[in-house]
Amino acid sequence: MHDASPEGWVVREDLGHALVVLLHLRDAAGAYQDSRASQVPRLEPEVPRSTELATVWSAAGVAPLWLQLWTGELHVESEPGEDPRVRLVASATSSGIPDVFLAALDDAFYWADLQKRETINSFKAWTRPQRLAVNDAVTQARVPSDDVRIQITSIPVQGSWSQLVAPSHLLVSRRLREDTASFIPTVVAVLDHMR
Amino acid sequence: MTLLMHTLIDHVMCHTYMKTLRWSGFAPRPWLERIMRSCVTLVLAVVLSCVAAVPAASAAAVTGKVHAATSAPPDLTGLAKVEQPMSVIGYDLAVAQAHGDAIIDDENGIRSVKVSDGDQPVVVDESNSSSITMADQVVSGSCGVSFLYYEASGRRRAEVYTGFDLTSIAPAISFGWTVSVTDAVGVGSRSWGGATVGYGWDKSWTTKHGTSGYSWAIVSDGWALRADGIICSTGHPWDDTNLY
Repeated sequence: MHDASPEGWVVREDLGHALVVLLHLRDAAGAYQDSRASQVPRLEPEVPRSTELATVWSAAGVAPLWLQLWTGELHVESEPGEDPRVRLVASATSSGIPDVFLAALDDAFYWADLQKRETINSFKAWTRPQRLAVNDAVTQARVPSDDVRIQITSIPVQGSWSQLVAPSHLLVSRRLREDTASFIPTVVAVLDHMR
Repeated sequence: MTLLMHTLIDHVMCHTYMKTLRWSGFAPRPWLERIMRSCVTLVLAVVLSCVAAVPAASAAAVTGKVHAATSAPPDLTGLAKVEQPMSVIGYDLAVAQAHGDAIIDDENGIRSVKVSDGDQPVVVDESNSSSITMADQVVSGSCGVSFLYYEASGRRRAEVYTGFDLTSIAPAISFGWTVSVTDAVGVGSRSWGGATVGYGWDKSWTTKHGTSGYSWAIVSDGWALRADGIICSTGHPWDDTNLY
């Protein structure tokens, strides 16, 4: 038996559960166009707007606090056994975000759970090319395989959208992830960018 | 014994089939020949898997080797949710040789190549099929995708959906898969495996818990032995949920 070989390239994919929760807070406050928050499109399906959250968002200057939470979650390297709810509530509390947003977290998590369930059901029906799209992208890009380490986070936002939020962290809309013909060139471009 | 049968039948059938094609004026290109060999292997594996002795013998033969590679506790640092590639962790030389493959291990990693006369790699015409080229590259680094989703479904239950897809031309002929689930009470696990044929496998599993709250599941051990002798190992995907 040969010893284990080097791991080779690794592309990790996740559903960005905590990110979806934060986007829910932003959209419920009607702040999806607030350039101080983020350039991420609205969630899909659209979140019902809360007048209370909208009022507090503007009056209390929540945008920079929200952006701080968002940026923190983008750089979290979560490990098994670490409850994202506990982490997010703790960081939201320490950020000084108004209580009304803390109270809205439960609804946001509930919504995110529903979306995750939809994603799982959809994944079960995926075709083989959809499941292996990342592999196709890596092979198409012809990069030195051992050097590639990427994280791809799929979130349920509108449109066929993607954004490189860190040198090796790509956010994509769920619709783009499921559209293999568009998803593969997107990943190939990221891999080319990393060279 | 099973391996010997497999080798003999595979060799005779492939040889006869190729000879027949050549006599009939059709000279298959090397890459096509490789696909044909894989197809024959696929059919044979189906037949052999119906023989009671096969799963036990095959699983036993593989288990010893794989455990040698995966006996260390999984490294849980830097793991990602949901999906990770399967990567090559080693090979089963007997299986590779039985299928006319040679294992090459150099600075580019472990890979198998079809050989003729025992030592020279067959020249594979890759111009007509990018998938074959890709398959070789995947072998040098990663050879597929493994996944795991975990979501609460109420009444202190949750649903695990897990599996793998290989990108290789050679199908999986055997696999082992263990999912470990942790909640506030403790850890439970379930394993699947044995002889198989195909390029992927998936499974849904409903977990029942004695508590609610945070819980997470991980592919704690997963591998697939391919017909060309390469062993692909999971990248340990994991996911979490809140039981209610």
